[in-house]
Amino acid sequence: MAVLSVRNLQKSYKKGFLKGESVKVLKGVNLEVNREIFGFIGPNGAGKTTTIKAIMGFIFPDHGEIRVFGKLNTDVSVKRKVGFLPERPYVPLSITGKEYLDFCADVYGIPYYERRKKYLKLLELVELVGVEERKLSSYSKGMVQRLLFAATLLNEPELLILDEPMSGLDPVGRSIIASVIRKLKEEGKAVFYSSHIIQDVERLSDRVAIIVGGEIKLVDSVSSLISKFITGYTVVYRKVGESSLLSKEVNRQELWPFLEKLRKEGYEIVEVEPKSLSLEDILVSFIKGSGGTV
Amino acid sequence: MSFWPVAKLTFKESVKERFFIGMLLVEVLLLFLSYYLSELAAGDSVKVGMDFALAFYFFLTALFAVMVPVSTLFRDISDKFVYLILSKPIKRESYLAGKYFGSLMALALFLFASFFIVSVGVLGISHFARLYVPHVIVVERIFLLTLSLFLMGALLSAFSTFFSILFTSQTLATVVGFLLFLSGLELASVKELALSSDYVSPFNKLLIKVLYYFFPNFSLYDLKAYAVHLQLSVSSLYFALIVLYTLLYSCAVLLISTWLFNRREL
Repeated sequence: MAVLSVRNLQKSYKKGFLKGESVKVLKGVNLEVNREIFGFIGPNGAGKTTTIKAIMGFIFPDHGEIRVFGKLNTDVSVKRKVGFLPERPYVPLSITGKEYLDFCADVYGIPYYERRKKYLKLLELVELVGVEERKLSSYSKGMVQRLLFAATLLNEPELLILDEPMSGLDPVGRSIIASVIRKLKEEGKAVFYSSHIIQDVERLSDRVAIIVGGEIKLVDSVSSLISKFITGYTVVYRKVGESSLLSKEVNRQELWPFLEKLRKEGYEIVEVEPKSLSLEDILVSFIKGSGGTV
Repeated sequence: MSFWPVAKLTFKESVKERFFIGMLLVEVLLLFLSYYLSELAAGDSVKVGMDFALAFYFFLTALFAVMVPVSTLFRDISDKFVYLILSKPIKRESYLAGKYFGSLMALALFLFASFFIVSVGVLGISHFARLYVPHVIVVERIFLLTLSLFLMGALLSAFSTFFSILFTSQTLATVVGFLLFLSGLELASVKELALSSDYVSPFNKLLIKVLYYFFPNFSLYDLKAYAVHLQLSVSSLYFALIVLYTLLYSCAVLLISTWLFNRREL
């Protein structure tokens, strides 16, 4: 059973003064997330946040079905197993970090005697120990985001849904969040997150989905995806018995004939390194409508 | 009981805002103003001063009851804090109930503090005017007025919650909430005047009657005269009836708000 499954999700919004015009923002999104790190990427306005809002039940889809751990997403009980962090999250700044954690602990019914230990563990994870008694108005934006991220882990969720968790964070903050995400995966949790920082997605994700114009263009593992977009190879070789290295770049079609030629001419092949498009290049190619050669 | 954490957080958030302390400071300033206004009165200066002090108390409470639910709900929705709350196992109806009860708890604290400020102020006015008023009785009466103000605030907060869901502008929700309060104060007088007048057509009389029963009647909570004029009394039945009126009306308004909120996209 998939941790999160989205089937034929469609959503349109009414536009204009009399709301006469309808704009379709999701055109049948299908997704299945297992216990993995699943990156959800796409350009601005592609439908990433709308999909996440629909999954969380903040908006109502026109068509489609969303299931979390096999139950419909509208079932409030499934939220006990889910942690969620929206994009650029806000909390009332007049309260302290601990008061916010207390609020979350109250919601999940965590007994008082367990809280201190749990808070400490989470604050250590996001490197915020010692600031929890301060008002949130004295936190930087990145600190607030890290605190809220820590708070989403308070109920030990089996599925973490993050909308642009790295946005607005400095490199240290990004690295902290990335390491926590990796740790969660090692613990067998599922992480579904959207991001426009493609390098992070490439580094972190097991699988990615690319959404463009409200449609999922591709779902694949990062490694498989990149291998499908190999544009050529760099062949490093040398004459048998010599130490100086030579290299040549060849395209996919030329590789095997070139290797055969080298063998016949008595060359030793040192390395064949594939040259691939980055995930960012792949995304851009989808945005531009080229579609690649998948 | 999933509304309780939301209520607690709303309470903490509301009482830590500058608005809360600001309102209490305004209360103190208006009491001083009441004293100076009583000095200008030609007749019974103590009663005039007390009238002013209690009128300010009455209107400040209404302002508080309108503004706190509106501002906290709008901030949650516009700044998307509601996403963090509703991503937890909290139903939308529990969230709304939590916001309402949290606002009521803040109102109760505001009234508790105001009760002391107003009691001291009113007794101070009589003291400086060198006129005797029976202190215990006056404080008792201000306490009863405070209770009625809490009930009024409960109903007004329910309406503010409703307007916060209905409108997409915070200013509009606040203005409409306060206008409803003002019209609710005058509706009973308008009805009496219209029904006793020969110049009002039967259709208009019927319309005014319908409006009277449809809209909330905030004049029911106006016990200012009772607090000032010691010869007046309020029966326990009257008080029980306004408790019942508040409960039923607030529940109805909150149910409609919940129905709307459950259908609203966030």
